Amino acid sequence: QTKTISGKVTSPENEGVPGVNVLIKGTNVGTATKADGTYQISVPDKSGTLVFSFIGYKTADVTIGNQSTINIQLEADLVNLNEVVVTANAIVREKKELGYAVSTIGGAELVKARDPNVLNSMAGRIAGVRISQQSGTVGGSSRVMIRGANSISSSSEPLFVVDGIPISNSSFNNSETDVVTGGVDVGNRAGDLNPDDIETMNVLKGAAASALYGSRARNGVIVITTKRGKQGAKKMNVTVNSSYRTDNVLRVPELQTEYAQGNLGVYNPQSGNGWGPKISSVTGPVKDYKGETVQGLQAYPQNWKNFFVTGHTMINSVSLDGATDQGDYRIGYTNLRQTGTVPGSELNRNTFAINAGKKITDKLTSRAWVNYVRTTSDGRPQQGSNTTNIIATILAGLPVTVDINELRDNLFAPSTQAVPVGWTGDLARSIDLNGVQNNPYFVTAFNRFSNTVDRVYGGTSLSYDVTPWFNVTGRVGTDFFTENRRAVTRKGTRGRLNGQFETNDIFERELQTDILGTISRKINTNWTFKGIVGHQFNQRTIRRSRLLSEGLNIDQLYTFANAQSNVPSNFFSRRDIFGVYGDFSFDYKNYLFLNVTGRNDWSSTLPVNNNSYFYPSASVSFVLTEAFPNLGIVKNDILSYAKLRANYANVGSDEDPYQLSFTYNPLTQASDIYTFNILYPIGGASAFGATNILPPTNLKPQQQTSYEFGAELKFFGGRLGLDMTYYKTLNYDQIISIAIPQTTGYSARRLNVGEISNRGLEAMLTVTPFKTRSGFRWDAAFNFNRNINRVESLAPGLTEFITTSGDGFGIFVVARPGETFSIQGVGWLRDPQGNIIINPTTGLRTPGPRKVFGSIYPDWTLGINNSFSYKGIDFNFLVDVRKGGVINSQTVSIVRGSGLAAETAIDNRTPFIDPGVIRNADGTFRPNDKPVASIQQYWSQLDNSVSPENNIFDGSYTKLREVRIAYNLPKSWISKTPFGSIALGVEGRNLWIISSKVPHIDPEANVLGTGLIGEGLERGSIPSSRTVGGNLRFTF
Amino acid sequence: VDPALLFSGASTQFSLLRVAELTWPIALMNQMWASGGRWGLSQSQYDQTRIRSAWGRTYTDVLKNLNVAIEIAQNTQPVNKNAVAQCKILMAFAYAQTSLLWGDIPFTEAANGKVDFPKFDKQQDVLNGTIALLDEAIGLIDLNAKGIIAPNDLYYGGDMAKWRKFANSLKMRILFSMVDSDPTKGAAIGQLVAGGNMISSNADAMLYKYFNQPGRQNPRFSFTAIFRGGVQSDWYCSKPVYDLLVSLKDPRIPYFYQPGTDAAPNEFIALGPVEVYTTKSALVNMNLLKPDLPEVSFSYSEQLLFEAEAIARGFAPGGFEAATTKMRAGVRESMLALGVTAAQTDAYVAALPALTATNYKTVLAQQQYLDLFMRPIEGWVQHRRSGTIGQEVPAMTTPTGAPVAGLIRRLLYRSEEVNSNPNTPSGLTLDTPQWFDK
Repeated sequence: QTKTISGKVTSPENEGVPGVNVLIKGTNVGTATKADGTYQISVPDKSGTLVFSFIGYKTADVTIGNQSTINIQLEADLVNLNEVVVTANAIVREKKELGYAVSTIGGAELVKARDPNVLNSMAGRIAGVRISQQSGTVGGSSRVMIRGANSISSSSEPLFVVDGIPISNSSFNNSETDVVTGGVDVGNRAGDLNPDDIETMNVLKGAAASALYGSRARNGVIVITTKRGKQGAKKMNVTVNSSYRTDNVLRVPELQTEYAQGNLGVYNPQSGNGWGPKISSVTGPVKDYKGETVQGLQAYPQNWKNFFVTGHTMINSVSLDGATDQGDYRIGYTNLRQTGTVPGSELNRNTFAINAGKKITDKLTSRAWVNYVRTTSDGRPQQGSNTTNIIATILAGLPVTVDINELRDNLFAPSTQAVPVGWTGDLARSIDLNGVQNNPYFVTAFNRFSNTVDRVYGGTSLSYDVTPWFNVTGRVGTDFFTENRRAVTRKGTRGRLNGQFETNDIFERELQTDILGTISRKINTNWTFKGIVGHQFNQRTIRRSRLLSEGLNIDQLYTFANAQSNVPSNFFSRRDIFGVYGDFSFDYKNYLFLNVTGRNDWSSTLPVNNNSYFYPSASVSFVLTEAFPNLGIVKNDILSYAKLRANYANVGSDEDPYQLSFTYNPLTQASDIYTFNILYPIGGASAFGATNILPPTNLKPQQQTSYEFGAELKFFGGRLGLDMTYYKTLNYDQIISIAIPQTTGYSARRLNVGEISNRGLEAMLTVTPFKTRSGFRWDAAFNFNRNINRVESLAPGLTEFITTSGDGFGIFVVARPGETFSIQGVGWLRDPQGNIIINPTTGLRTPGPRKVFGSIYPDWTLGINNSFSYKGIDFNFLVDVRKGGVINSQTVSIVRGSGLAAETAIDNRTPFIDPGVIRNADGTFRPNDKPVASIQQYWSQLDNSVSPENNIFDGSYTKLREVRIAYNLPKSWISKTPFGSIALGVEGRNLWIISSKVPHIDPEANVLGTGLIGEGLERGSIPSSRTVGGNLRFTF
Repeated sequence: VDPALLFSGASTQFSLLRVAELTWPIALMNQMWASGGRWGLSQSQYDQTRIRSAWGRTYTDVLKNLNVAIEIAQNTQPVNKNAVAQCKILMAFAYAQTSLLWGDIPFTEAANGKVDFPKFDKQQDVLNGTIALLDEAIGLIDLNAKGIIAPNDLYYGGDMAKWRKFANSLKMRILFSMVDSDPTKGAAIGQLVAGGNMISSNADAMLYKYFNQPGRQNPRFSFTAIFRGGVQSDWYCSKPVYDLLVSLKDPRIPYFYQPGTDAAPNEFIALGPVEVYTTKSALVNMNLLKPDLPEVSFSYSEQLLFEAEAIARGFAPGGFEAATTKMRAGVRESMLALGVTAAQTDAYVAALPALTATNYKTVLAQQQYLDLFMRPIEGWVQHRRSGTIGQEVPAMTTPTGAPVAGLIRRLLYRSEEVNSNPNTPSGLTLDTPQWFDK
């Protein structure tokens, strides 16, 4: 006779676990626990056994016997054999099947310490993934690089995929001119993703993981799955999450406070430096920088700190979700309001997300999802060089005797003093009588960059089970956005006296359709087969129009008709790819897995007769512990889990559109190295130019082959885990524009040449040193990555390839065969022992030949994450270590050259003997005995573009990246309230530079954005922020 | 694409490089102007980091586009011979200028995309090649047909008679740069003078016009406007030039310069190459940096002074008396163009010494140098050819701290070229004389 068993399933934290499968062993009869963890099941007799299983917990078997109530506490399963991951094309796989490395970040991790740019939350958490922020600008961009650079000439950004549909991560600020000569960090589009809507982020690091996405996946893929409605206790779950954070600049240059502006110790109120006399020695009536007579001078050492303000961020999100057997839905809304550390900079973002699925019949299911993001920002500052609007450069030349608060206060109340001789402006606009340098507050108040992005991405899918083992799914998705930018420069701005504004409209769309059939069949008791065959169409369109309007008649009226000159330019591109693909897996006894894939693409950007390319991959995964369960060490849980994996992949890829023909381009301007260009038409004449890149003749698809080996090991029931991967990637037949001598009339020829390789080791070690019965637990995770990047070869006869040139500062990012990308420039002349050779007449260093200063990439990176949990309290901190690589800092160079850096004031500026040697007439060397003529000359020479050597620093650092404390209020406390759960959190990000070899600035600063090759060049960056905040999350 | 559109682009780019990127570093390195340490450019270091794009752009944006334009013009029916001629004349100008700055340069294999590593032709061959180019162009000119006309011909608006005059004058300028090393060029100069058909009035001068509209202003004006709020505070009065003017009691001083802000009216304080500016230092006059001043490629005064030199050196007949007349006429045009009053000009010109066998080298070279005060590219050529090494007019010395012992005599090849073209000559230093420089 049947009897009814009831009970409650609880977690190790003693809370009810919903959705646990309760099954009578050996049958298909079962039920699931309700929201509070309770269940009820009818069983035929008492001899049976109940099996309780749930992802993340160890499966428990309980003999029924005479019991009518069975309560059970599940044990967390650290080994987690059944973990699933979302791989290519929204296909869910068990992790153990995979023959390649995948890393996952759960959505819960992303919302505990929310960063407006979700990519930053990955920093230090995933081996082999490097995140670098460009600046502390609000909504600033972050570069992601997985397993090193794959291309000599284009960026190695991974592909972003949301719910099976690729999305854009463009930034449209990636021309070298835009970035180096006074650009604005406009952010990257992956920064639009809303952490609150993300269920998981999977990082597929190699090409094998992603052959099904097509070529773009060769740099790795970040697969994002958004949240869906979940079945809960109520019909509708309501989640509210609120964060408040403050941002302050992490590091500003340390300035000297003793010396006034001037030259060689002589006071000159109009100099933008600190090379004058000691401030204490200037007494009595003297003219200050405004031309006003004052009684002595005073130092204002906190000018940098006082200029930057505290930024505030509020993130509020609410979501409603629910599910039944027939369908699920989720609606989310998030509002982000942020003000930056630069006065007047702000960002607003509203995100709406809808995701709904419906089971139409037993065989037919449908799903649709839409995300709408609207981002507006205003007042993003300029960085780089060459315009007088660069905030950091202005600050780097601000004499310490100038009170920055006075500049701020004068902005709207200009000095009423009589205009002194030579005065061409007022304090509102400039900080010196010559009107050379802008008042930074004038820049932030009037010369503003604003943009609005309206973006929609989403898709719909229909899935039909033809038979229980054969399914057909169709999916259509798109991501499109318009971005409107306007950068205004007010009349009277130094450097742009007549005022100007630039309007920039960008439209980008990506469209993708997929049709795929999936077969899943058991061949016999040992073998199971899964196969996917699909077709994909992908189209990408970009449209852009710019209008530069110069010479305003009326101040601050930014209309086209008010400009004396309007120069329009536009751009359009479209590219199409058709692909067919297949993915076949064989599963032997659930411990040996074999997978082969293949794809053929037809691309519109390659020559018609050479536009088809095929690429295959193969991988194998072997779960040792399941194959040999009777081994002693396995039985005794010493080795709890062991998986070995290997794969090989080849990926072909196309190139940018419209590169095949000899083109004539209408010219908008003639230029030289200065910023004032001649605009066409001039004197009524328009102009054209022929292309500067010789088009290719026999272009082939470019190729990448890669392999990796890995092992995933868990010991002692999961208390110790090690996941290691060795990989090697070779990119060849790269389609690159090789610089040819300009004397050919062309600057480059497009060819299939060049090989670049990456090999490296990724290791993740997880340890649980303490775990007590009372619930205290300490987990530590170490993420290590060493990547060796090497340019294997270039075009025949080519000895080097300059990827990015900071030429004005005497530095180049260069690729040379047999080396990695390195920063090069003129070094100091040295004797055979490496001592710097000093000029015996000046006591100064002598420039020598060009040399390699070092790699732009680190030798290795390490992330150390420690988390402690006890009774709902979670304490977590993340330390991020980078070792090796070099960076060039122009900000350091400027503050030193201008005599404002603290180190320029040491020892009362007594001239000293620079350690080095002097060349004797007979060619031998003697120690230098000639002191420098003045400290000013010493530092000025180091700042000069003659040699950048002294502005190159070891890029190693150790940073406290993140600290957070989260507390889940016990269920018992809130059981009588309408709340389902309440969680509190305190978070801090980018908190502390524990060690760094770069003075004055954050060693992570970088002026090059996401689109450019090369890193390690800094100039005029907005300092990065230290963020502290709190978070409150509750559900109803 | 119509060759006219390529021509306007090439000529605008060429003029921009002449008037901006090539002006400042060359004027400072050669002590024509002084930097006063103001511009971040170390004058005494012969710092070439500010001449970054001129080499490449001359080949890619000027010469290549002219080559492409010629190809198109030759492939249209009927062949647009005048357009071909105009492009060839501008090409000859650009090649000669590039060679006189850098020395040996790619010429025969350059700017056509056919040879990946163009060889560097000897300067003598390049200059002879430009003369041949000019001869070809002159042969193609058909005064009864149209070539590239206004607005795309920004120099002469399609007046082919003037193009022919310029071609001949340019040929003479190139010949003069060669004649010290290749004395046979004297006869060629004589033939040119005899043949006439060269620039013979101010209306014939080769000028690229700028306009007082944003984006179309002379970049020398824009520089001050953009970087210095309209206050000229970068280009100072250089001592060797100032001393020359003083020694000549030359009325051009207040036209060339303006006093520093804290200096007395008419107090002109010159700077040596390593001296740091003060608020009293005299500056290059803002009147010479006006927004609508044209870029001068060849002036009437330059022509007259060349003719004076041709006569004085005996390449052309007439003797020193005729040479003196030509010189006075040339100096007069030079000063009037600067805005010096007619009375001052006439008095000065009349007081100029008559040329003789012993003084002509100095007297004429002084005037030729001053005539080119705002044209540093030609001014530098003039200075180097004005005397044997160490005997140039006006006299200059190596600045303290210079990286080489002598005056700068050439630009160094750009690293892009050195790194990408194995044919780039090596082992040259800044003071290695070029072939022409004897």
